[in-house]
Amino acid sequence: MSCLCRMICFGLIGLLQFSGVASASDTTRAKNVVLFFSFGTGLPVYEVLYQRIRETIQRDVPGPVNLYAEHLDLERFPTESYQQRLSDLYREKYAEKHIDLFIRIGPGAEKLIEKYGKDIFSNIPTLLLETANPLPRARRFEKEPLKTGIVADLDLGSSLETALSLHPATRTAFVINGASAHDRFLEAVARHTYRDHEGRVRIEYLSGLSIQELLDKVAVLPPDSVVIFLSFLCDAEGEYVYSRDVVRMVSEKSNAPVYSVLSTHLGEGVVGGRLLDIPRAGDDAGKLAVRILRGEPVDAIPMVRENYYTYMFDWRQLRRWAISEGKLPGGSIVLYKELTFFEKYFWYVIGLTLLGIIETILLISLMVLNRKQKKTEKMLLLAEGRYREMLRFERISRLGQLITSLAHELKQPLAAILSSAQAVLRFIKADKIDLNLFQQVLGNIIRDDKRAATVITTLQSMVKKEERAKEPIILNRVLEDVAAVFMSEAIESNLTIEKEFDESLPPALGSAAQLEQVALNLIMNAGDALSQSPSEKKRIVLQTKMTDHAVQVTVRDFGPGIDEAKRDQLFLPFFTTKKSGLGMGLAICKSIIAEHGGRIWAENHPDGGAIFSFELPVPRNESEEHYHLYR
Amino acid sequence: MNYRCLGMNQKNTIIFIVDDDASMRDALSYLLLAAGYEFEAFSSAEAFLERPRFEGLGCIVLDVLMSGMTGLDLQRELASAHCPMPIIFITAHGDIPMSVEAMKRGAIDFLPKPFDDEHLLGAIEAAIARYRQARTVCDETEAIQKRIEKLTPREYEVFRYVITGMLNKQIAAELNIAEGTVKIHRGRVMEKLAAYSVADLVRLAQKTGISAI
Repeated sequence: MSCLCRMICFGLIGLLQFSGVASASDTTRAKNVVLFFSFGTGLPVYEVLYQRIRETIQRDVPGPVNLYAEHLDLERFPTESYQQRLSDLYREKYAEKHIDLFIRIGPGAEKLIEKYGKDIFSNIPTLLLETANPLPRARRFEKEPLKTGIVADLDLGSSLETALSLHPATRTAFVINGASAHDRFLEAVARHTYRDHEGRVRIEYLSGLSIQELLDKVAVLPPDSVVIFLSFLCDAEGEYVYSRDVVRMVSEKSNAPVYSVLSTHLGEGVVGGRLLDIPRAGDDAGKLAVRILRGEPVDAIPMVRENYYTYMFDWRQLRRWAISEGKLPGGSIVLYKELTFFEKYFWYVIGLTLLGIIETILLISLMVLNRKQKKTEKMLLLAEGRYREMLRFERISRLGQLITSLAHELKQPLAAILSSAQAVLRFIKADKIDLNLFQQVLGNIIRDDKRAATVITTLQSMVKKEERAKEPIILNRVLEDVAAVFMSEAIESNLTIEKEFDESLPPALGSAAQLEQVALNLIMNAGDALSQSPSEKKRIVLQTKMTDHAVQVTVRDFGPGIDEAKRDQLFLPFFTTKKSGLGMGLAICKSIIAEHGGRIWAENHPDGGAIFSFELPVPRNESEEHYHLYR
Repeated sequence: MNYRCLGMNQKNTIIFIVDDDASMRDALSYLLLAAGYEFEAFSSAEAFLERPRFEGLGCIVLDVLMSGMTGLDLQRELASAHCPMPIIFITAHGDIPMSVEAMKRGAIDFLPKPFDDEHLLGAIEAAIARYRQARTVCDETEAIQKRIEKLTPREYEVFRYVITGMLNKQIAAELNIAEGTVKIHRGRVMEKLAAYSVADLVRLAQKTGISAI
């Protein structure tokens, strides 16, 4: 900070006269540039400036350029004889050198040249880098022959203003300042500038202290304080230091936020403020130097008055003092931002989050699928159970009605028993006693008897199912269930099943299992009828409707239809048009429907295909009630 | 699956059992054994058909409902043969339309299971008796047929005129040949067919289904 302040505060004024007429041959030899820094080496401000100027020149000036940097160190060595001898030294040092540009930075160099070395670097183009002095009666830099330069504004007020706006409750602003001439100059400027603020806040100057005293003081500042750090090149005991080191220590110890005026302090613990942007000033100076070195007449380049202040803040300190970024003045630059975990790993976070979301979605869909599957499995089991039951009925019906079938099953072993027993009797009567043979025959008789008993047991279990009481049945549901059961076969046979149901169909009294058997029989017949049909005709239409006190079900197919000659025999037992069939299906259907008090019939549709229909009576009085109960 | 047993009382007579129920086959076998019949048992109509044709006497005890070829199918199949073996149907399914059809096609009996041994054995005896008779007729017809086949085309022609009762003269006019020639043909016909009168010839023609011209 101190370096910067010096350079800027005290403009270098070239006293040298310039000769600088560049001959054509000048372009071929190496250019020589001498830089005078008023203060000693190692000041951060100087380092930044020198680096920026050098880089700009080397980048933009063709051919080799030699830079000679001289640190006059006048702050620490202010004696007249030192200055006298120093002048002599430079006079001799550069006597033989052809100097192309003379850059003077800070106020000290100007004084030296003015007092002792007007003849040094006279007639050489000179570039000044100064800060404007806001104090009254201060010297104003004016354009002189062979001289140009940059005069940077000196603004100590804005940082205070910024501090006060960020800490509205502030009652005291402590201004920290060293004891060097430059420090004292800045303090003078500050006192001049801060007069305007004294109504709003108490300004206390912590100057003329040793570093230890200073640190002790800032550690126990009263609440609602801010610190404004200006410059500290030398403490009260005459110890020269670097401002940057002091600002670091102060910031660390201070119990109040520390604001600065110089960009080189940023990062050392200050919150920030409106800071003099040294790198930018260096770049501008470099550009001017390049113009001169490239041969532009110095007198054609006017003096530049420039404001290099920028609102700059240290993100870490903003956090430390809990200052919201939103409150900072517009255009603020926030440095040293530590990325939050989220900012650092933004894409990882996004990626991981996405991964998590996708995984969650997958998991959820898996769970949903699983549940659906379980539900479907349950329904499937139910459907399968019903299907098996219906199939069993169907199989029995195809063998010839429940009783017929079981009678057959029973007669078979009975016949065998009878014949075997009679055979034995005959052997005995004929006196042909063959015990081995008898044993064999008796074994067969026992076997057949057991077989008959099994048939009877089966019959009993079936009869139990048959005997179930009639209950109100919605035929739509019966058809739905049967169609669902038939679905896999329909898919296999490429059949389409269409449903045209009367949703307001009242219930009919009946046995669900038996009516399912009838419906399944009709649908399977329709499917069989369509087996040779082209695929566009493989359609079965199931319809329910209400007629006069009856509910009617029709099953229509689009097959070849019914042979009119055989229509009357369709429902007779053992009548079949199929190769493999007993001809019992429709006969059973008829008997079931008849038992339900309904009727069943077949007809051909005028547009082709067969229609099988049955209707069941609806109890007159109860129809309404059932309608509500069982819909 | 099919086994055979030599009985005592019926020579050159075999009863064929065709039933897909093993118990039933066994039981029938015992019964026929007890009754002294020679028999063979088959578990399907197809198996029976594979057996070489049996030229002796006998009958078939046939189950109606079998997987594959049914009893009725087998009956139909056998009916096309010359002088078919009689069939006794047995069934646990017995219903009227089926039995009517079976009987129409010449079944000896239609026994609903379970049946009494006497019914079955009675039916078997009746079947054998009828078959023996049928076989006699069949054999005679066959013999006549063989003799007729020995006639020349002209003789056959003359034979068919003769059985109409026409005189030699009329036949000669019809065939536009000499009366003497007709006489010779007629004599050869009588000789070849072993007939002694026109009445004999007419009877032969009736037996073999040959019609008059």
